Amino acid sequence: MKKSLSLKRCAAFLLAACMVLSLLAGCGGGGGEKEPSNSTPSTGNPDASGGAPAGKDSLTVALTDEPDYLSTCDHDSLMGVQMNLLTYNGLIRIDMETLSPVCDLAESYTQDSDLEWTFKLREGVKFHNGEELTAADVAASIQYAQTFAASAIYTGSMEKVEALDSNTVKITTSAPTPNLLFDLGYHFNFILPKSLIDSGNDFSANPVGTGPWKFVSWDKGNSIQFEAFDGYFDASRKAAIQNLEFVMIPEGSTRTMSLEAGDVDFVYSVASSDIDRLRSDESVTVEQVVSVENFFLFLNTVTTAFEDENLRKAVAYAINREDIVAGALNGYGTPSYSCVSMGYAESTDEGSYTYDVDKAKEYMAAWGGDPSTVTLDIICSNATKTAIATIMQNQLSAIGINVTINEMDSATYQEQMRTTDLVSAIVSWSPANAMTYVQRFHSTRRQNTPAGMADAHMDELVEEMNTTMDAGARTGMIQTIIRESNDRCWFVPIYQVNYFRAHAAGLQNVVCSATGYVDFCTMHW
Amino acid sequence: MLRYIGKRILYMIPVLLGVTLLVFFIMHLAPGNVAAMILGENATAEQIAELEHEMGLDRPLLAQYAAYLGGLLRGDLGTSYTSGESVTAKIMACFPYTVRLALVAAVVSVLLALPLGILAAVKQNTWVDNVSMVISLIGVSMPIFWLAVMLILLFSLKLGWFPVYGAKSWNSIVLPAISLGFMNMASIARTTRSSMVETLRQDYIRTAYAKGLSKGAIVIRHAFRNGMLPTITVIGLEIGQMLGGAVLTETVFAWPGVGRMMIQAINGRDTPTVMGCIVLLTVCFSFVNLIVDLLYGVVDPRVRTMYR
Amino acid sequence: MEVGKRNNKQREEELDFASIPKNSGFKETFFRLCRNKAAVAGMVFLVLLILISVFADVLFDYQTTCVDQTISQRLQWPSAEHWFGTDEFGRDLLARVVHGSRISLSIGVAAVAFGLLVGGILGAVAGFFGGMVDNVIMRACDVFLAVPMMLMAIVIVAALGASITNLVVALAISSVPTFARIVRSAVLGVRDMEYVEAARAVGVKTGRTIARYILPNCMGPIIVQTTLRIAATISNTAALSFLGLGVKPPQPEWGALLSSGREFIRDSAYLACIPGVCIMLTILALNLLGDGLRDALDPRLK
Repeated sequence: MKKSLSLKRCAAFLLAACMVLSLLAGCGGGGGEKEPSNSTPSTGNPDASGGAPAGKDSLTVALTDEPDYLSTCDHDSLMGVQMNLLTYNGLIRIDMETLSPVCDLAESYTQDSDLEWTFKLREGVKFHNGEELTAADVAASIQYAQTFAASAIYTGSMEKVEALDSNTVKITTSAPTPNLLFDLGYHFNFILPKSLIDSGNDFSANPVGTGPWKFVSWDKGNSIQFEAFDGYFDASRKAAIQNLEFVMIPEGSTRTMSLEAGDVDFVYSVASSDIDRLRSDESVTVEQVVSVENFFLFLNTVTTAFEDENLRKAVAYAINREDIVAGALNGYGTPSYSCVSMGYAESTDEGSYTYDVDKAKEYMAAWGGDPSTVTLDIICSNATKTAIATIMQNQLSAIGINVTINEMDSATYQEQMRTTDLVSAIVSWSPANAMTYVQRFHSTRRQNTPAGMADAHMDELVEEMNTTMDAGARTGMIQTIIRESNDRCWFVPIYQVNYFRAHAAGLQNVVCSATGYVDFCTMHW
Repeated sequence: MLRYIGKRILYMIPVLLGVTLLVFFIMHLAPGNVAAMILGENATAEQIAELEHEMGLDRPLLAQYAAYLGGLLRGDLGTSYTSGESVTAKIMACFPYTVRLALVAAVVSVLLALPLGILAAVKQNTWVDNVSMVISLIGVSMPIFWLAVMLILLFSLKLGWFPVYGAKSWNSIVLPAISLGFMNMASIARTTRSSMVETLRQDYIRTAYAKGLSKGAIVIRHAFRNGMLPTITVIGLEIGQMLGGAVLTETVFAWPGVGRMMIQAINGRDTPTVMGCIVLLTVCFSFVNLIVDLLYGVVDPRVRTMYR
Repeated sequence: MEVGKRNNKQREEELDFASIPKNSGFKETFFRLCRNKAAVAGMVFLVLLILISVFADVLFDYQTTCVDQTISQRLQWPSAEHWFGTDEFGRDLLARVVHGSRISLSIGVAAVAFGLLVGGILGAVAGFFGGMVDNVIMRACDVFLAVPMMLMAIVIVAALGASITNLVVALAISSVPTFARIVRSAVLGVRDMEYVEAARAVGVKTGRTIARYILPNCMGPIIVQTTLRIAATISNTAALSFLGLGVKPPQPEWGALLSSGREFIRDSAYLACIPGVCIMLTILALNLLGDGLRDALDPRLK
């Protein structure tokens, strides 16, 4: 009899063991009621308890992924750019709060004609190696960037870059380029010392620029260290944090716990499931940024049934974005109804489609096809996208469209995106400005995504915009393009990403941009 | 004996050849295009083709493989596609961490598993047996990230004994080693139990009892020694596997080991890094297996005839 | 089997040093198994589990409970209404666990059976013959052991497409070398025993020697490994589901349930822990049964 109970007893023991461990760790158990989520964005509250340790001048930041490069031209990754912003400057800087271009290494600039620009450099700017910045460095840096294939869309328009004298640079473009200032603020065009370019320096292992921090060491897989650069040229943006350290912690819950334990001071990206917890922690401040990065459902409008506008509109009407944000993002996202994110000066959500199953059914009828013949195969490259697709699968069953979901690693995903077999994918995009954004509606895009849309009228609109130098007129054109593409429903917008960063409450003046970067220059304890 | 070891080391050559060949072709069969990944979504087809040419990816596969082998013979593992550094440097940066974690975790799991296994065998079919087997099984079936989070909450947040992440201080290794060791304990404990049960039934054990030896002496000196063979195999396999990196443990504790690097390299289609990891892994595995086979001979004299 | 037997077979029967009872058969093993209460408990649990997975559709309607979502009901802790709580899409976890048992059990058993069959044969042959054969087989195993499962899985899916069958293939390949090594070392332990030498001396064919005299005497470690591999297979499925090689949504599978609960581990621990406990209990039951079976099959314990 004793033995017959053994399985039961073992099970009981095992459950008890789990319980004990949970209780010891002070978690789990009967967490029946969760606090209602607080969706008001937090403001950097300087007076919270657990404030600044007196005299602290170092900062440890937990990143999710390690950047591959610290150099400017070898990559186009968010983390890499964030690192570049520490050690380098461009002629132009994109202000993190306004997202507009302001002068950085350039003191002033003039536009001499549609094609010619002249930049005056600041005097007395020093590189980390002690050399002084000259116009020759600028010309050499941009020419160096042009040798990298990946930089083409940011450097390709510049036909000639000349040093007129030691602090004047003239840039001649091959066609009118209203986007030039943004291009110059992009990391590919950051300025490196000419002497090091010529000597073949490895800028990833030895990143020398003019930036507010100097590189100290990089312990691969572990940490990257920087120290403040005393000779920084811009007094108003001189680093207050003396020692800046980045550590790599891939798992979201570990990042949160490191912050709670005080092992790190700043978490670059907070897992959405931990936001409520951190907000209720007084020693931690959570920053929320509604970004311009938006997620949308990309549809093959060339070789599938989705070339029919009515069918696309039916899909757009059948998707409940609120549910997607609640279900796949724990409520932390902004439902999106426009092809171009809200948040740019030109943004508009006119002509878009909100959730309405009845209208979706009307458009299905207008399309007139048999829904059982259509399979929407969505490819996804990570768990969040799969969760979104899973919710869509359920929602689209209401109008009879069968959804299959294919999660794959990103290498396979990117290759699939470059084929015409692709039916649909969940895609995200976060360009620096609306003008870059609407380039997506030009058929040249099909070089990269051959299943993408092509429309002669849209091509005309985009081309006209690209050569319009007058800012006011261009804004109107961009809005026309946005309205038109919302109306044609080339793809289905889903949500705008919200970035969540968290830091010790004592850290002040934290600026996070809607394009995904953090300004470490302005921070202080 | 030395000749046997020499022979075994020679056998590593065909294994290495087989592994590199297999992995090389697997990496090329796998979907996904390195050049497209490096250049990002804005790149055009021509740019991709140009980069592929630069990287030598447009040459015939066999030529590429031959070039790789040539490099390998000179001790050159190539340069990473994604970060441009030498693969040797990349691996050398994280392999010591992996070895450290694997060895400490192996010690943890052996220390936990051997007593449990022996106890269970000696007290076969009693509650002691059942409870110790359940404990060992919790490890294999518990979600490791749950165990890890619980350990961090208790030992780092509540008690403040160990750091939450990374490998910065000497005591950083404690939590990852415990969770990894706990996870690998089951197969060692269960194998020990079952081979001990088997051994305890042998005639010579009965003889030993008849001679009036104490139970402890019999279990440790006679049964344990003779029942070790399968246990050693399993311990060897576990260490070998852990040397290949424990992806989940490394991820949760932000431990800078080989496992995570290799998964990243696989996902980034960084063939040279993947190949480098695999070569290293294979050499480690072969050495662990060699040591296991040598230990067979130490433990069981009958097997020694193999070493010729 | 008494009539018309060949002469050497009769001789072999007389010289059966391993004393494996020819007529032991299913019945006798079963009765001996039933004397072991722990094994019976394990067996009862497994039978129940199999019944649950077979009648999953009767217990819970697949479409309404496992597929249809109610976002407003998401992440609710276990209650009278939802015994196991609800998942991140507001689906009933109990229903998903019940339907998941079907997929998990079949994947685990199929992958391990395939791995055991191929690995067992290779290991037995390697251990028995030694020398060159052993070397070739074990080196080949080393080659496969060195290639990570993730890498193998990506390629298999690329070549054959994503499906449950291919998932099973990928998982099975990863357990072949392990089984081969275990079986080989077990065979090494018994191949020089007197009864084996005796059997070979009287001219019993090689295949028959392995199957009748060697394998039954090293079943212990093999059974133990088999039950453990099923556990490992289920948790490996979870790892593969990160790559999209796992089951496709909205299908439930224990490993996938476990891994999708990861994100919510601190606030909704039940999401990962309940599938975890299910896996654990299944493995426990398999192990109790395995131990009982080993004892029941062991000729020396007769």
